[in-house]
Amino acid sequence: MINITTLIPAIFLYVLPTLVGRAIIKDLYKRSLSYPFISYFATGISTLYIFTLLLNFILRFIFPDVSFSTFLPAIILSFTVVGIILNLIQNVNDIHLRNYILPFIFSIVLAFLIYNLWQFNSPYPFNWDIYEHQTLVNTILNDRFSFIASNVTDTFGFNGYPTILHTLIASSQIFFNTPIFDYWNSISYIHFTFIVLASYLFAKEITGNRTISIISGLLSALIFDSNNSFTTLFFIPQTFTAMIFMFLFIQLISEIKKNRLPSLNIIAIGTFSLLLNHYIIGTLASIFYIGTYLYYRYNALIISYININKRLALEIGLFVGLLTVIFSPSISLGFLNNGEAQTFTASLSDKAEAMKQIYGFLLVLFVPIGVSAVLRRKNEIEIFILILMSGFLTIILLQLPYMAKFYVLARIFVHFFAAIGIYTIFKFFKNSKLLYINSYIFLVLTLIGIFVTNASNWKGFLHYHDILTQVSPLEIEAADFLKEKYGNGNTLLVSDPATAHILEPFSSINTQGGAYMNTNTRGILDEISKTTNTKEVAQKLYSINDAVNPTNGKRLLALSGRYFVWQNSSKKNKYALSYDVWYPKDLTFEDEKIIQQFKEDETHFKLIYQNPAIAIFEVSK
Amino acid sequence: MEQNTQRITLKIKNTITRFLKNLVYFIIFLFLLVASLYGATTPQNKPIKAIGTMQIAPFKDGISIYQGHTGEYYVFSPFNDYAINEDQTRSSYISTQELTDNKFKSTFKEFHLIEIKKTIEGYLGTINPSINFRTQKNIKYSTNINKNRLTINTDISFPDNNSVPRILGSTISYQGTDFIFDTKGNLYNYLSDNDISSFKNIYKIHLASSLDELRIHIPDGKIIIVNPHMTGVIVIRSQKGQNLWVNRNFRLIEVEKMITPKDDRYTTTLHVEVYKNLEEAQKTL
Repeated sequence: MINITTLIPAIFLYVLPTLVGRAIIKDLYKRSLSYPFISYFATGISTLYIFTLLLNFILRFIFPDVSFSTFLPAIILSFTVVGIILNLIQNVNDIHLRNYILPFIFSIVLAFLIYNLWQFNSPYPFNWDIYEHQTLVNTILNDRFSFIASNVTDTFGFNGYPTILHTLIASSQIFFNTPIFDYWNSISYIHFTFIVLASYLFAKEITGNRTISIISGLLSALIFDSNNSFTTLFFIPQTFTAMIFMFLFIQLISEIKKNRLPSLNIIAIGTFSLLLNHYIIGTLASIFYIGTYLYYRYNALIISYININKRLALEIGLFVGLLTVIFSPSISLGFLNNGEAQTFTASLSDKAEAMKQIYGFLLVLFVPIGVSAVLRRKNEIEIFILILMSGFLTIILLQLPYMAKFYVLARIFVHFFAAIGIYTIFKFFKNSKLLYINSYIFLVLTLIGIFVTNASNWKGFLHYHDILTQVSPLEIEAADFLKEKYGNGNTLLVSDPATAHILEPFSSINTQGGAYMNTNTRGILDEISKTTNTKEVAQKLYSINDAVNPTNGKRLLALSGRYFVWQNSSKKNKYALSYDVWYPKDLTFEDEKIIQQFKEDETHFKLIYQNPAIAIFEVSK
Repeated sequence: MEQNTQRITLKIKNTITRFLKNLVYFIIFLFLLVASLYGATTPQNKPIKAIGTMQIAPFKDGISIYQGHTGEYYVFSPFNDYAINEDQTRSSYISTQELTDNKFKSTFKEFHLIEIKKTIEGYLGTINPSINFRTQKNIKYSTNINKNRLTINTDISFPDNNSVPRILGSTISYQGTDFIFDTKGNLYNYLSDNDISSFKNIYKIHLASSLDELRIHIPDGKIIIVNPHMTGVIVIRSQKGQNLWVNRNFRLIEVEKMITPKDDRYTTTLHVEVYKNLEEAQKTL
């Protein structure tokens, strides 16, 4: 549930770094900077994280007995107090809230309405990744901290980013006892608001046209990229990085329009924060960000060169783009991330189908109109934006793993051109107020129709009783029981990957890898399904361990409805990182028969909890 | 004066021309919006509604109760529902021949914009599952759902007076591995002794196989279905004036109603309840 108390920790995640960053860099510059808040935020998150890393490193040598979980609250509290005091004593000539109020209210209201439409009949967030991120946050809060995520918890086998976002989340959760789902719903809503605001401001800075900006904001709110990128509704490192990129880019464009550029320091801190938040998305974002800066810094030289060879440059660009798209399938990278990458390698027709599900025919109808309007207008910045969008789309069309994830960066550009396309038609009848108002109404209704059909498809397999969900209330109840009895103790929970993934962050009990359990554990679970010898099963369970946080304590075996579905799946699926039982499942008669076998061996299996979804045993060797 | 009139006339003419021009562009815009929406992909089954621990949705052969991804369905279908004529001949609403020759139409797949409308209404929960079939007969299935209670209404019209039936049968299919039993514990589906014994261990209910006949009349009008691969219990209750049968040959629960011949459409109803577990179901039996 989102309410003011659950929003406070979510807002704190953004406010604290902004205060810290502002205290550091505000008075370093003689002149004002457009959208200074993004620079403050970038500075603040980088400073907080680096400081925490350094202090952790130093204290481990000087005070090895002092736990990280003790001094983390002290760091956060110190930064908060110092940040507030320093900001209070600085003058406020950089705060021009009046310019932002209406767009902010527009974004807050729109995001609130659409977020609730998305969560309609669904009590829990749909972001499957929150479980692993919360597990990492819990581990940080429980005294295990490192730059490298896989050194903190074995839930992270692939290090696509360091632990900066998790440190921020830990900072915002540490003083507030917000229920986990409420926190994630609130932070997702705040993130959504910022994405909508960014889309509005992006269009406003480039065109100065309020109608195009509003349409861009509407598109951002009502189009959910439900395949790979998840820009608006999922708060995860890639979307957080994209949000930072959007505001950095808006700042850059705003400065360019004022015939000036941000200083190199501002560019550097922005780039650093992008790379620090996501290696892959951050790298591409940085390339486009720095590329834009360099283009405008050396604009005269570049323009003079392209003016001479404009046609050749365009032909070379198109030719290279086409070749890379055509020949990319021959580059085999499916082995990445233990083979998970293969699942994220989509063909051109897959990508087209995904876009159709997300947009209907909206893109194919309105983006060309927008592009053609921009080419006719010959506005230099708009044409540059078009070149950037083409660059993004070429990369996305490559048939290599994870390329579709880059849409998280391209989206704002694509929506910009769609908004111009829509506005181009609007213009023809804007003299008639009646038709103009009706056109907005019909546009919103169409976008709602596209959004709801997309959401229906995406959530179609998640019907559970009378709600739509990835987890059941019964599983959460089981996790609450486990937390009370075994939480943060020396215990290892064993179950199928999905059940482990869900129970770990809520119960604070360690599992081997959560949804990303290793092949050894998968093999043992597969063997367990083939034997009725419960003594043998008990011994096998004690051979499973977490390599990052080993435990020699008790083993708990969770037999959930999901567990039995997973056990009945093919061997190929059991060993696949990309296969999980993503939907909740209660226990059936067939499942109960197997549970009965474990109940009959009281020597090795003591039933400690059962509800209609899950039976949990404490295992003795 | 004349000049003024001319000026006014010209102004009106220009305003109308401008408005018509705006209107044409507005219509083009609307057309583009509708075309955008037309590209949206809709789910195959819509709407899906909850009934207790299970779901119900239209499928191409009727309306089905199911649960998640088990792949097992309890179907209400015109290929199973039947009429018994005066001469005691039984025929399904849509015959095997009509099915084989594909000589029927249904509303399972409609014009795409209507599908989109159904998807939106389904998402918001404002409609219940329904489906129509058309052969020579018009058969309409509609549902009323109240938490765990479902009423399936079958509305059928017959093409001519010569084929007016005397009994209409509404059916629900069941699975070969289901526990089908009545309130006295008579089990009407073949299951192994092991399974019957496990059932007793787990649910503390003793079932005795009653497999002498292929089609069994259930006098108290209540049948309980437990699917070993699903959570929840289905209870079918016949109403006043209805007779409940278990047809082991076709794996159907049949609810029959005698009807008075008339020219209008006939409506039959089938009442189904879905409970979380046997304990909850038994309190109502």
